This record gives sequence, structure tokens and C-alpha cells, in this order.
Amino acid sequence: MRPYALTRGRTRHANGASLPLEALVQAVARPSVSDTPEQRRILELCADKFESVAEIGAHLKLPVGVVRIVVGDLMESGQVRVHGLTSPSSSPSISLSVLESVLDGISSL
Amino acid sequence: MAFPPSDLAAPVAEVPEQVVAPTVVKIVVAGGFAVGKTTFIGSISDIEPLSTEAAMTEHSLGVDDAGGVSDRKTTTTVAMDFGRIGLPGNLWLYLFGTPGQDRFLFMWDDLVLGAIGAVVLVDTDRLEQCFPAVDYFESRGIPFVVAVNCFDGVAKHHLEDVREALQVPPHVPLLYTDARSRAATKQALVNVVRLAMERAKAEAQPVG
Repeated sequence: MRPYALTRGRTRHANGASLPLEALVQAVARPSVSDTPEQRRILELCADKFESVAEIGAHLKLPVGVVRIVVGDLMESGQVRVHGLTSPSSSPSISLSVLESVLDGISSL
Repeated sequence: MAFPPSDLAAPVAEVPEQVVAPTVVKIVVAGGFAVGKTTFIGSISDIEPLSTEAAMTEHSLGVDDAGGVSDRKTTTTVAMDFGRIGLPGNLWLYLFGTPGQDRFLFMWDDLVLGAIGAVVLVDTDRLEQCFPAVDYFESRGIPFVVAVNCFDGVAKHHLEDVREALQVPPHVPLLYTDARSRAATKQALVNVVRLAMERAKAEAQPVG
């Protein structure tokens, strides 16, 4: 679907392809020499903080499709943790308690 | 459990591994091209609105400029603007703007999956631009509000006239907004979340 040289020709990744734009990526390993330049940049950006898939794309000027695949690889190798994953099979619904917190939060701005 | 800012704390040798990840939620901001989506997002976002690119392969079938029928794959790059608001309770609310052209409707599924709901921004001078967005959210049962952007704070049309023109069903909230105003944006978002809560409560009721 999305051919990219950056991702060594792979167009889909079991983990990465369906990552939500707002999923938060946290690096749990330092970049190493065996990582690709894109892997390294993502690990550096997400060191000590959470960055969403969308923010990684924006900051590193990489298309979202590329970010998803590279993050998917980093997940698989255990170099990043990804938070806020929605289950692709079931339609995700947000709990009322979360909605209440969001409402209170926005109202207090 | 909240900890005070640690500016004054002694140097920390090891960063604690288990910093709790924020809970992420999102609201989609839709509407026609140049209706003020990025301004709307920027009026309330903690970060300057960012832009990210989604490249995609489009299968287009149509009549080309020379009058022949074309059937070709083209790779299109679509820019999406977004912002983020940190809320108490370790919540991050993302606001994603939809790419401004109707022909990118197909990629909204990606944006909308898991969203609380949506704001459809309307410019009353170009009402027809928001038809695709209204249809899209209506057909997918996604909670949404229609926010009429009043440039210069002047409401040119009565809301009920807009409702009729757009054929927005009575259950969809319609309100005035000003994309530049933090207070107005906040109000629009509050309406979306309230609507999503009503929906969630109704769905939780056992069906008789």
C-alpha cells in the first residue's frame, strides 16, 4: 500500500501499520549503531518523554506511514514502548469516566 | 498521586522508568478548505499547531485533461494539522484537523477511529463545503457539533437557517464560534464531549 525506500521496501507491518496517530511512543533503549538513521532519530526524540506518532512525523518530517512502520519495528525489538493502542478488532469506545475527566479538564481551561 | 515540580530537587541519577503514560484522547476538527481549522486548533492548543504528512496511493479513475479516460495510481501527500492540550489527571487531548479537500474523505477513518467526536467548522459564505463532513459523521454515527465560524464576531445567519440549509438533523448541536477565540473554541469542545457522554450513557442503558 505504501511503498517506501526508507522502510526497506516493506509496506505493512503487523505492529506498526495500524498505530493510531495519537499513540504515544516512549524510548526504552538508547540508539545503537545497528539502528537505521530513522530508528535512531525516533529513539532520540522519544528519549525521556512521550511523543505521539503524529508528533514524531511532524518533528522529524517523516510521513506518518513511515513513522508507523519504523515504530512498529522498534516495538518488536523492544526498543520502544507504545501507549494508547486501540484494539483494531473492536470499535474502541471511551469510558464515561475518561469523558467526564476530559469535560472537567476542558471546562477548567 | 501528584508530585510538585522538581526544579529544586537534587540531581537524579536515574530517571524513574515508570513515569505513567498520559491517557490520550482526540477530537477531530473538520470543515472545508481555509475555514479556520488550524486557527481553531491553535486557539487552545498547548503547542503551536504542527503539521504532519500522510502519503498515500490513490487509485484514480476519471477523465483526464485531454479528454481520455485515465486509470492510474498516484501518490498524494496530504498535510494534517494538529494540536495538543494537557488536561488535569494526566490526560492529553489531541485535536486533529482533517485534510481540507473532499477527495481525502477516505482517510478520515484513520483520523476518526477512537475519537471522542468531531467539530464541523462552517463558513456561512461557503456552506456547501461542509456537506461532506456532515454526511461523513452522520453516516458513521460519530458525535459531532456544527460550529458556525463568525469572522469578526459577526453572526451573519441565524443558526436555524444554517440548520435548514445544511439539513442538519435536530439532534446535532449547532453553535456559533470564533476560531480565533480560546473561549469560543473551548465551548465548542465542551459541547462535543457532552454529546459523546450523552451518547455513551444512552448506549449503556439496557434496551427494553
